Amino acid sequence: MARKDAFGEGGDGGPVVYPPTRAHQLRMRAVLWTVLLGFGAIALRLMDVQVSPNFDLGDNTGQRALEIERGRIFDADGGILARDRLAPSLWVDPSKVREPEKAAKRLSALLDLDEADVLDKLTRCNAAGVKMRFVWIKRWLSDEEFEALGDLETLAGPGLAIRREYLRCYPENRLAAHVIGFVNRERVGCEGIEASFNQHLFSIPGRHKTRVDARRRFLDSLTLEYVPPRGGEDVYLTISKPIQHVLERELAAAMERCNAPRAMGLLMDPKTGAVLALACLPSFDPNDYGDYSAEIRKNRALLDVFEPGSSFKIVTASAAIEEHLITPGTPIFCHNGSFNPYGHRISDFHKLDTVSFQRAFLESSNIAMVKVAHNLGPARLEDWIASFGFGQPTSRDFTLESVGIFRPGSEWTRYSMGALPIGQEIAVTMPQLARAFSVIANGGYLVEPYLVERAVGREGEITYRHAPAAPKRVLSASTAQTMRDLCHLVVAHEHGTGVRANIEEFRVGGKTGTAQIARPDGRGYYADKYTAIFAGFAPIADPRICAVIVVQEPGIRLHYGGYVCGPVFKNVVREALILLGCPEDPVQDDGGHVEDAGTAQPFRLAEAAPGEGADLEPEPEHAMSSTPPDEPRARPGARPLAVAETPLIGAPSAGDEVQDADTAAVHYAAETIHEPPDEAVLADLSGLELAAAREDPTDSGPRLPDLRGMTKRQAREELVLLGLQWDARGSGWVVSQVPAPGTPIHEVGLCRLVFSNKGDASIPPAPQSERIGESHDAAGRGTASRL
Amino acid sequence: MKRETALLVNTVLALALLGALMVYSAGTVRMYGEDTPNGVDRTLFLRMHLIHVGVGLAAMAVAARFDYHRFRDRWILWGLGGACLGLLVLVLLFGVERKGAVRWLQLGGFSFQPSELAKLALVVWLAVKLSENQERIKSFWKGFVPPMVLLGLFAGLVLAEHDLGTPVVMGAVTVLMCVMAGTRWPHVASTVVSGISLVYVLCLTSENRWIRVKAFLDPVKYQDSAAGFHLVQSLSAFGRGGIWGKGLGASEQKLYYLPEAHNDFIFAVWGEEMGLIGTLAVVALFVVLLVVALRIALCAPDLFGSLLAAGIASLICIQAAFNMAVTTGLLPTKGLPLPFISAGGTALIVNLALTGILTNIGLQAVERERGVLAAAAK
Repeated sequence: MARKDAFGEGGDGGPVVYPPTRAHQLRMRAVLWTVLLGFGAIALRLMDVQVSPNFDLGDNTGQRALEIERGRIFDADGGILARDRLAPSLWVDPSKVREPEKAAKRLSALLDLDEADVLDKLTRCNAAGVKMRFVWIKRWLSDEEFEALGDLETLAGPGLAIRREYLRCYPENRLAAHVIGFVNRERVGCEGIEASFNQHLFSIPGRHKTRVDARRRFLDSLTLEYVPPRGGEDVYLTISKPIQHVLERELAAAMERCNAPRAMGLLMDPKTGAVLALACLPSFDPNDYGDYSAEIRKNRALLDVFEPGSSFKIVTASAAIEEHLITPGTPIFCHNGSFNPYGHRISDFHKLDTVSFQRAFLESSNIAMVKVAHNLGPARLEDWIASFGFGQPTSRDFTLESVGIFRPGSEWTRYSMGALPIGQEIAVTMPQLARAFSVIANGGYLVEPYLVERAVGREGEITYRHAPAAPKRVLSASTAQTMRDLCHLVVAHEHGTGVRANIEEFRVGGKTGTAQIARPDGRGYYADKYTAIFAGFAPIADPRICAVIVVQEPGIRLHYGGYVCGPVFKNVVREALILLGCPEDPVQDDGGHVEDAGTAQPFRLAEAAPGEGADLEPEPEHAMSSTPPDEPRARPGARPLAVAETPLIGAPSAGDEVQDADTAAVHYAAETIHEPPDEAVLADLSGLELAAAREDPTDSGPRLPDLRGMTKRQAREELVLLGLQWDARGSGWVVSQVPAPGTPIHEVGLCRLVFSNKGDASIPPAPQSERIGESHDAAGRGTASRL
Repeated sequence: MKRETALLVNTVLALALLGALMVYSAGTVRMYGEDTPNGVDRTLFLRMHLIHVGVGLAAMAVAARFDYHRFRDRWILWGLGGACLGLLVLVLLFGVERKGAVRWLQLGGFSFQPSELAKLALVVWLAVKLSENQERIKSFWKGFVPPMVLLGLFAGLVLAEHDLGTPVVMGAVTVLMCVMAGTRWPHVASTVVSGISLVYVLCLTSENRWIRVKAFLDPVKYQDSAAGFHLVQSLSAFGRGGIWGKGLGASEQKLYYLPEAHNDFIFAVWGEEMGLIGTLAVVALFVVLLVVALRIALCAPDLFGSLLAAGIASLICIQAAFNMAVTTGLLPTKGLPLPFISAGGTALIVNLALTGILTNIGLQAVERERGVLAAAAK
């Protein structure tokens, strides 16, 4: 071969150089083919592996749960009531634990856990006997516990780890606990707003699915799926933290003072229904909800029903005034404190003879109210109770709410007409009572109380806003005004039952109530268990707050609503009005108040020395306390007794006398009565003698002078001489006066005067004075002589 | 011959370019989430690799101009062998351990892998000895034992570094060179048998190696072991690549599922990103390299050059074949880089230097061809 020949000579004197022989070349080719065979095998293998893969490990994907906080709960001013925070939780991977006994001992000592329990968790296996990979040891460690743990590896060996989890916390602890409720371990809201607005507050974790590397790190650039978290909306309540605080503080003080086991209170805006404070004591700390019984955790403020007692008389009174059956001046014979119309005795605490209706109301006469209700008749009484919202749920925001006990008219017994008008045989809830008082306070509308103003999503979008229901008119504005005045007298008048609720800076209206607690078996009442109630509103000129205070089972002798709850109402409403920035609205702002003249001494004294003897007992109610406690209240199946058949005690009186009595009282309510009561109403009245004929108050006693045209000073002197309280508006000369001139003094509780500079004082409301003149010469003469 | 030499150089350059691409693709991911003083340095591996390529190309250029006959010079030959053995001993004394093997010498910021240089030295020594001993090549003591002693020296020292892959490659290259030099077949056969037995015994005696063997035989069952996991991930990568691949840079298996994605298992990343087309192309490039190098060997001016060229070709291609066989599950896993492509610095430089030697042989064959043609013309 050429190569062999060419290199045959070898090198140039160096070591012998052999050329590659043919044998070498053959062997080299053999080696070449061997290695090529190897590459061929690899190529075949690649085809096998890449064209028909044997391995498919699935996607290297990982999914992260995007946890977000549960929505926060704010009060009306943006103060936080509930929020989430991250708290460390301890978990273990049992497959990694080396010395479980030692670890269990140390952990149980540090975390206050049962050692055997911890040991079980550290060594837990699944059903197949394989060690688990994740077991919680203790969730939501406190800061102290977390500090104490220190380095987990040195403490108890490998396998332990911390994961931070959201924990619901309530920075105000017990404040408004029942309103807020709490969140359980599964982070589902229980009780309160946490439950009823759970679908807003609840946060649904999002998903972020990405490729992961072998170290299980998420590669956000290789995102496969992204589902943002949802929910977690913030909820803004109508509750005001400072007012709530005042309410809870005063309720607690009252419980202490009156030795009562339970108390509750509700403050709401009578116009909108916004609940400013809602509390029931004893309370609980939602941070440690497990330490309290379900009985304590439930929101009794919405669930407890109680007989409203005398506080319910506003319904009867409003109805009768709205239907023009009576006016505040209507004289009513009160049977000197004992009356038995329906087969059981109705008694009054303060024995009254014949008094005006407003006097009967402010002294809380049961007899007067029963007689008024009789005029109304059962059917209309039932309608009126229902139209005030009793027996119905009050609010869409209260998911768990009692509707009280209000039997339909078909189930009433023959005692019912003697019980319902004075707030017995009916059980109400606090919101129902507050709503009924709001009707009076807001000028006649039934509003819906509500707790949640709005819910705001995470992007700031409003997802829920309270939609007020269309206001339902229950009373005319004038009736509501009259009722407000009557309620003001309860507080302001020296004989009123609610004098302890009077506030100096603001004029207040309210009504007391004391009810016996019915036995759960339906067989009458407990002899010594009472519910003390005060419900009211302030300031009466333009009420900003309607409040109900209920103290259950006060353990003192003076268990009356005015005594037990009046001071609570006074303190709470006063502070709340100041907190709301409400301008002061004192009873008298120019020194003309009767209190200053010393005539209001009785109730001043009563306030200065409360509870100092039986003679100071201000509460003339709880008529049923003299009823046998085991008197059957309602017997299911008992045949309802038609009121028409009811024999009424007392001689029937002549229709014209009634007419007289009615017209006599028209003076006061002249502005409320636009047309005379229709014949049917008057016919109904004929069955009842509101006032005994022998007592004709129009013929005797001093009468209210005509103050029109007087200056404020002159009017004040006149009224002070008569010992009357007054309410002045405006300045200048008296242009209108209520009650009208000529009203007997003993019927006048409060004299409302409107002053003006316009000089139109000489123009009296013509039709009224006409009627007065026509129907009551005596009154007219009295007025004229004074003038 | 000129065409073959040019093809050789171009093939190697193509492989190196491809390697740089893959090192960037896989190395970028390696830097993901790593804390470096300057934050995430995505091009760190690429820059290191390009430095190595640059040094390697320089070494290749130098070697291409260095007359390969001078390797027969006693000073150079003993110097090279002595230096390698010395460095290997140094590694045993002061070496840096990585991935369970002590292969690296740390010199300042650079690390150096003497076992790679030892492969070069072994091939040169074998070519010298086998070409000098042609007359006694059939004898046991004079022809067969000397190469085996050389192998024993180098492979033994490397084996002491807990590295089994490199000695196996060395043994295979030695056997092939012996075959090409004309060693008697019984000697070759006995060497192969005893070599395989030795490897088997070595695997049996080491728990680590035995698990690798078991994982190789049933990767799915031994997924919990590193070797089984790596093999499964590697095969999965090839499978995901399919025929057309997922596209450059799109490998997911390089996200730490593959060990040494930029190094020992870079072929799997390539397979996933470029598919069967890409992997077969790489195999084809190595086949081209092999065929061209063997043609140079056949046309070499003398037997020394011939054996040297064939030895270098076998060394490069056996490493390539072993690496591919490991990643595709044809052989148990061992730490071997894919020549010209993997990011190992020393191996890349040495392989490019070896290519330079091959080029020199090829160029001399061109010279000789011209001489022959000129003589014929006269």
